Amino acid sequence: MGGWVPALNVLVAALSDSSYAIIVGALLADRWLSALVQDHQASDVIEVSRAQLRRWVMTGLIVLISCHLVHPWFVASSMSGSTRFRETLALVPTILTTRQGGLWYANSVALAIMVGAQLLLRRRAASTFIWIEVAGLCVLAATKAASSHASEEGDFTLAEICQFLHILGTSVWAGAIIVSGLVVVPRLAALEGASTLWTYGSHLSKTVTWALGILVLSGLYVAWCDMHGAASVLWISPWGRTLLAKVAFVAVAALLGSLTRFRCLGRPATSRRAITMTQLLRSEAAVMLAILCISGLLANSSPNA
Amino acid sequence: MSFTRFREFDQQSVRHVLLLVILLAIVPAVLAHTAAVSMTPAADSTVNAPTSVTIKFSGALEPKFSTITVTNAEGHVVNKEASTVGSDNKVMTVAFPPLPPGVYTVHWVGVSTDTHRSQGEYKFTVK
Repeated sequence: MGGWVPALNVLVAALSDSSYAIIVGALLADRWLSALVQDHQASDVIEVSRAQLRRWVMTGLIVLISCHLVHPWFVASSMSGSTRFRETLALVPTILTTRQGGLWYANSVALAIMVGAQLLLRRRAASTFIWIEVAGLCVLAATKAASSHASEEGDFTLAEICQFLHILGTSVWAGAIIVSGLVVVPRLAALEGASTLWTYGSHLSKTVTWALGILVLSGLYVAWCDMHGAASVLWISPWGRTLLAKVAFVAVAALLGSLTRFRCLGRPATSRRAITMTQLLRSEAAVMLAILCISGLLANSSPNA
Repeated sequence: MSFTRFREFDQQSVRHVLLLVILLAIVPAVLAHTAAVSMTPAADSTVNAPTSVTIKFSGALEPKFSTITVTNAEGHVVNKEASTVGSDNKVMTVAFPPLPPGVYTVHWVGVSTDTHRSQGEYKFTVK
């Protein structure tokens, strides 16, 4: 099965990143819909959307846990350079004694608490529930930053903190767009008034703007730390070309985002513009999913290959 | 396009361009995987009977999966002990008895804490 292992690893990484972003996006969208309820814009449509978001969070958690369970095996394969199933499986106990193992245990605890909160607290104590979920997501982002290149100079460095913020910023941006574009906005546009959609859209737009700011600033610092002027790899290696493809997709997403803002949200709410906004966000969500898949490919491939 | 809308559009454009710049700029961050930055004895050098090989890496290593192996011209491994990684996790050393004259090959595997694996090989001569 040797040749399949790297491809499988990329698939699992893409699934894991997408699930994480979707959980973040679904929790945010739920908060924005909850604000609509408080503004007396409550309706059955909003309640149905919120129920759908809760299912997305639960599904995201299940996928995330599945990816988490097989992660040590992929780490064993990556660290040993072996793709033989039994050989790498035998290395898993060793992996669990390394730094990667420590991070895996931390993730296990965070995921267990998140699932527990989802099952026990969501209905009974909504505000406690949301804070537990946010804390769990922060732990997951922190362990991801701690297992990235940014951690090589040690833990709790500025580079690692910036990497942590970069992961959160990316997840908020991608997750909010995917969930809004595929779940919330089409339903609101079809069944609610355009003004409700515009209120939701303004929450989305503000949050995405903040996420972009954090993403850019944290990314600049991480890049500045490690820049060694090797940009030529961009066009001479398959890895570099993959990255350029990702940048192209990001450019498309950014273009769609600005169209949504200026063609729709920046103008008075009309049903025609609501349809345009739905189409734009749906397209942007599809582009975001492609970006997350390419990110999984990049994170698990070597630029030197 | 009114001035207000032009200004809004301009602010958006700046933000999006900045985003693209950062995504391009992030490349070197990802490129900078752990690599060997200095070796003792150095590659292709001629030295008096050394008792160890030391390699310094650009980033932290995972000790349990990083190794150095030294072989003689016949391909026999000359280090009886396993290599060790220093306390800062960036220097890996392997010790062996004083080597007789000949050409030796050092094969190293460095696994960084972000799980990426790099490896290399070089020769040195004992006079």
